[in-house]
Amino acid sequence: MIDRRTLVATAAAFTLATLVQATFANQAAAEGYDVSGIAVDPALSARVPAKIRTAGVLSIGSDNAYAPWEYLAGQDGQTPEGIDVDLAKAMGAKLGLEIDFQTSAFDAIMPSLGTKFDLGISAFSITQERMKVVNFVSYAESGNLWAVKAGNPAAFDPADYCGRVIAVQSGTWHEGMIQDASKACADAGKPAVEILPFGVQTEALTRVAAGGADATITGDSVIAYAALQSRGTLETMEAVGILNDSGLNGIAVAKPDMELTRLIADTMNAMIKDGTYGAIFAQWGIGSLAVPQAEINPPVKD
Amino acid sequence: MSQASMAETNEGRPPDETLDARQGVALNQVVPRRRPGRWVAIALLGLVAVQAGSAIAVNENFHWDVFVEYLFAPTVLRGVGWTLILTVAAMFVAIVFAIALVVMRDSDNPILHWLALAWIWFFRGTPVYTQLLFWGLFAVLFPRLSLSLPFGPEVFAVETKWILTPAIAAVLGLGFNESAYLTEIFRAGFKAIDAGQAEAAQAIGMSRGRLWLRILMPQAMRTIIPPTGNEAIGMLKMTSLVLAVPFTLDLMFATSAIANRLYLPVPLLMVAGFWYLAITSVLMVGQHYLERHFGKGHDLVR
Repeated sequence: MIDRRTLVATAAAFTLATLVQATFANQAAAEGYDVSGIAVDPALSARVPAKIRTAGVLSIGSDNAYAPWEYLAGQDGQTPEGIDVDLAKAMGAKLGLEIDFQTSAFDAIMPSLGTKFDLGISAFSITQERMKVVNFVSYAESGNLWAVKAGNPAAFDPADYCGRVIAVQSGTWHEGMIQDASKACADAGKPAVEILPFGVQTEALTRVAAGGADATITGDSVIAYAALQSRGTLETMEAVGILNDSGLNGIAVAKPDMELTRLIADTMNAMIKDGTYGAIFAQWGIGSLAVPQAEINPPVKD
Repeated sequence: MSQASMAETNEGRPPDETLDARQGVALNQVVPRRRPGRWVAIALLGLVAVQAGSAIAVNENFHWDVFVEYLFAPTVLRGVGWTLILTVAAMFVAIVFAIALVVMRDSDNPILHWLALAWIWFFRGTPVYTQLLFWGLFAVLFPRLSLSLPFGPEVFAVETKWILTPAIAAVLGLGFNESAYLTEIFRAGFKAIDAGQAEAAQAIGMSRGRLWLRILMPQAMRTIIPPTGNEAIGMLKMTSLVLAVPFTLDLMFATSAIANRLYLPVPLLMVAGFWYLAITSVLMVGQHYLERHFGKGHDLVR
């Protein structure tokens, strides 16, 4: 006769076993550009700084919540994929290094360069302010797009965003632009923008889709991708005025480390020259965002 | 009349009835006190509950189909597993440190005493989210951990980022914070024991170790278990803050990631809520049995 105690114990053991199995279940391989064909470039790999060469791994900080540039995917939802991931893997293959694409809070990436991370690859917009604290290697150019809920129920007008509820990712260039725009609204006597900051862009998009914010703005490829993936929940709208501006995206390197910055720029230019860069951009459908040359700390408007 | 004679004449009928019937006494009809207000209240509350229940159950905005679909999703189950691991590991670290801190705090040695006070002051005085943010940035503040002879050569050095992984940072962050609170709970448990116990034990020549282990600990456990169980349940919920590190395997992150992919925050919040409630319920049952064990001979048997 099975008594209650045995029954409870068996049920508990079974649940525990299932849970343990679920926790440590095996991960699937990542999708993306196949970098196995890329050979090590001896001239470039000889210039890898000693600290990184000893470790054999390039630590890269990213917020991993900015599809299609970088996002966590795979069956386990933990493998980084995206344009930036493919570019990083290609660079790693050229330099003969492994890539460790780590998830970090967006605001924490640039302060951690040189110590916790060797590089920051998170679709950073290159700005004068940021270049005071880090070095940038430009590698793409992108514009901006608004995302609104399908059908635009809040009747959002990109030409007049004063008094609107706008969701942004905190710490981004777009947040700064919306804050400046809100000040301009207030100076002109119109109601200020109500800004809802979120830690990751995905949460800003979800808030718009749920109806809690009128619109969000970020890089055009991200908004287009989100609208595509949202299965009809989100729509895109063109940016007008000061927000309708294209800017350079860059890889961030620690300010004092000019040696590594030059190496990354030369590696990126080698990839542009041999067509790897073009192939990656074409595979992700963002050929129009390609730049002809990777530059170190390029001059930008703001 | 004596009890014996009453028993002889009554033969199976209730004694009061027979006695009062023979004496011709009119009996009160004893009925339960009528409480009409109670029934009205039950009816009203029942109505409100049914209304609220149907407002939630039939409400399309809750997307119950999505809730059911993702309730046992692999990433969610893995999140549950990792949340449990974090809870157990953090509580273990906290209990170990708390035991040491209790001894230090009540010790005669002024250095140990003030060290313990400083630890408790610091870890209780700052928000746990802020502490976790610091742990995430630990590798930036202290890029290298090294062991060296005093005024001598370095024996062993390693870069912090390889040792302080997000999992370790999360466990230590939660554990250290909790240890400060647990120290005070343990101290209360020991204070609750009458001082005469320790004096008597010392009078008969018990060593300090034996005094702690055989006299003080078993009695202190009775007072310590309920609040510590409470803290463990609180720790389960505090693990949702490890997003600050960021630790990306826990339940909150898993459900947030799915929510941001589907642009449906509410059903995934309910999935997370469901699992937290389920685990808390199990922990509460466990705590009940633990309290019953340590309360033997003291507490009322229920």
